[in-house]
Amino acid sequence: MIIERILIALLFLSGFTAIVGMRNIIRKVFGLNLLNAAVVLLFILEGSRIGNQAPILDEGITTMVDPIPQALMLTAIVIGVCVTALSLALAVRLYRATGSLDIQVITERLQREH
Amino acid sequence: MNIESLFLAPIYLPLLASALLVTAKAFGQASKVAESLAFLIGLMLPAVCLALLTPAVIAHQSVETVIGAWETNLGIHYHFDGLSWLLIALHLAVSIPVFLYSKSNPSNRETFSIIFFIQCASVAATSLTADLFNLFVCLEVMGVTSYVLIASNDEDGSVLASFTYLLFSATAMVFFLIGAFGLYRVTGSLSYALIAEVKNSLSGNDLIVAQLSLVLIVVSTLLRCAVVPLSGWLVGAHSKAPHAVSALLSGVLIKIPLFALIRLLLLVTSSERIGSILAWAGGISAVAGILLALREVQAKRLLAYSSVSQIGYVVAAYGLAIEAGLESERGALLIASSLFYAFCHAIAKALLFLSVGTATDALGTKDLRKGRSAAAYLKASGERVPIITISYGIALFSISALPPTLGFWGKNMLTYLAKGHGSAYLLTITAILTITAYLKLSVLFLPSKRPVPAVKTQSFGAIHVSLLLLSLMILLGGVFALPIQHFITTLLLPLGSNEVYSSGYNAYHELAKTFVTLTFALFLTVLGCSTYARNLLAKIPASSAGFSNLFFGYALALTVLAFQLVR
Amino acid sequence: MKKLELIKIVITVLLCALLVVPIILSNHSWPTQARDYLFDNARSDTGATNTVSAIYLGYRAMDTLGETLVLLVSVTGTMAILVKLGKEHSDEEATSFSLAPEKRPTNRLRTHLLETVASKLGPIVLLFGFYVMLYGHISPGGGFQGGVIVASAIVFLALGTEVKSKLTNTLVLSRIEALSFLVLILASISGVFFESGFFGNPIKSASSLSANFIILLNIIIGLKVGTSIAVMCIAMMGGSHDH
Repeated sequence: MIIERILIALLFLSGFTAIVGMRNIIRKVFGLNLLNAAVVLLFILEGSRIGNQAPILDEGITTMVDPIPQALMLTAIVIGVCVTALSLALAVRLYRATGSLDIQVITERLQREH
Repeated sequence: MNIESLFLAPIYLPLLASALLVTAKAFGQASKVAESLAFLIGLMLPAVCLALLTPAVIAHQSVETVIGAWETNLGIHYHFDGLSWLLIALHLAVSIPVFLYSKSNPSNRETFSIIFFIQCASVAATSLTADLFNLFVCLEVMGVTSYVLIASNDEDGSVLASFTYLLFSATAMVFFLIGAFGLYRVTGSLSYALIAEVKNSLSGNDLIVAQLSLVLIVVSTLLRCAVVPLSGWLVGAHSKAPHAVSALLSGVLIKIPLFALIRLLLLVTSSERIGSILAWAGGISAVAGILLALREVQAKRLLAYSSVSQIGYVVAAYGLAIEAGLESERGALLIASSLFYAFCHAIAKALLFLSVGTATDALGTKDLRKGRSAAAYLKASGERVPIITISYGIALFSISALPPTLGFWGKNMLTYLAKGHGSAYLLTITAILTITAYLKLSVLFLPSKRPVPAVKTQSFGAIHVSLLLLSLMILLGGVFALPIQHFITTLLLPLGSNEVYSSGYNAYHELAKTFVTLTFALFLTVLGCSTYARNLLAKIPASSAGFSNLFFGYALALTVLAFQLVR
Repeated sequence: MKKLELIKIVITVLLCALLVVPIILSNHSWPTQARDYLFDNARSDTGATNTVSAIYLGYRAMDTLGETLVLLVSVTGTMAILVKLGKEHSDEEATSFSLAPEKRPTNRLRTHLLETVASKLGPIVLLFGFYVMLYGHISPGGGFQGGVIVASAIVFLALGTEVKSKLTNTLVLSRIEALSFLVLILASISGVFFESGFFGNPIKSASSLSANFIILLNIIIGLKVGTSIAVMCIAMMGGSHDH
């Protein structure tokens, strides 16, 4: 069904717009998470088209879904979480240093002391 | 010791070293012993393994294997050949001196070393991988180590630079995943060979999807190589990082992804069109980078912009090589000269960052308008022999392509081979401006009449050893340049065909050209001291690393490449 | 200048949309080779019936190693930043979430209800985490999933006050993490010496429990992930300045 993929594309684009357009750095990190979520959903959704049972070889399983996207997305989710943790720590550090969460204010204040 | 048992050693040996350091840190014991052991296992043993593998790669042996010895296409394919050997050698040549240099900075030692060795392993893995998703994972490991290392000196500016680079690079990696999705969907596999096999026989809508996916993958990888228009992040990251990290980033990490990509590009039939765009991008990058470097007044930012400019050389030759096809003589020589120049720049830029970094630390300022007589300051802080100043001089000669250094051969050979394409003119202009920019940087070492105040003394042992190693590489490379060039060409031959080509190029025949370039540059430097020139330079707009600019450049790169491929 | 920014952002998003949406909306049928191969061979090759575990701990174990490295590096980096931040603001804010009751002023958010329930739930969640870790090869689960559950169990124990256990001591946790990382690397290198190549199963034909390598990897990864995330969470709660 195409509606699901259109929604995933919209999720992707909204995450991307948040990263590029929003000035608050925490919202940028949200955007990155939305982006990651969209890609994970895309892989899993499309991989599930070829079957209708979970990819565990129990008795009576005949057509399971493609397990490759699921394994790849395990890795991608963990990497996404780690990068989010690091970026949030950096964001808190920036806030403590400049007192603001707005990227333009931060850049100006840091350039002034430079 | 045969090739099959040794070729994965540069991956797992640094990991073992890092694991030892993590354990030593957690148990709080014997850190000096752990550091030396880690240095031996993580850097010296892989160097020994590379030396043992030399006869095999000269004989054009290569290993294609699946990690874990699974007999199926589902496994991760790795491919070791001369290209991997050269990339790992490039990495070791820079990282051994950088690790020795970092011993002089006691703060953050343990964290730096742990992350350093993990980065070593990831660089080796990137050079060996022949699987798309594994390339993603390796690039992410390289990226995360870079983000942490850039932010490790805990200055506010470096935290912002790391944050910007993190968001830009992480977003690009998500686009990479979409590209991997597209390619897996239409080809059913994740290994380069199988992807290419299926992709080359696609048509219609499937071909468009495959081409767009390839574009996403190529541009997301090229982002790490900082070609214009993807270079906005580099200045902040490389100028604010600690000196050892800047040397490592500028020297190694902006070149490895480029050459790791070539394995995929060679198998795909539409790469000639990519090559032409890359050549122009390289030329524009070279000129834009050096113009922006000329207007800089902060030492490390000048060096960072110069990195953008010099990587333009590497990318231009790389692009021309792919366009000509690696089976042809021109292509084989061009790719060898591109990798050779990557070596030259890596060693020279590492030496520059380390020597200028130490000098500005002693001076207390990075501002070119204020810092003078660095040699005197260094002497006052305990340097008995002016090795730092001499090393800076050698690096200056190398990057300005003056004899008898490695850079003299590298740059002249590259520009000679690139003749015939428009970007060669851009590269020649850049050569002149590069000398001017570095003469501007050298004012730090000009003597001044001001008395030197008392400065803190520090020990220079580790710093001297590392700088001497790098200088020695530049000088020996200059002497043995032709054999080295031939060696590189031989090692890269299996990528194209198996005929032996030799360029027979002798850079000393172009001494006249070097002399003319030098004269122009000196003339421009004298002109540049005037206020008219200063005002003109100030008119060049500073590139801001705002998110909208970074991503606009990214979208532009995607569109240009997509237009070229989907046409 | 603001208009120029807006135009740049709009053009960027439009161009990226133009290039990404065709890939997302592609109608090519999803390839079935991998699924068919795994359906026939996953159990005999790796001993696991959970094909996803067979992939990421068997056929594509190198990716899992890379993922573990990303986790290690990012936790190290985050901890380095947070510990420095914690030192600067060591008194006011951090102590309100610290673990030792005597340092803590009365705080509305940490009620007796939270502490009692969390400390009782901790061991149960810990057991569940180990179950998920150990049974990863035959049911959904595995090292990463179990490790994260173990991490949350340790956070529960840290939030409670009745249990003063070694499990919430960051020193002990970081030692477990270091040792499990070392064992992971040694396990992956052991394949080199046993002729199944790097990261191959060194005891392939040996024992009766055929999924032994996967179980071992699950345990190691679970311990590593669990302890490192737990240390990071405890640091974020302000407990790292204890030692």
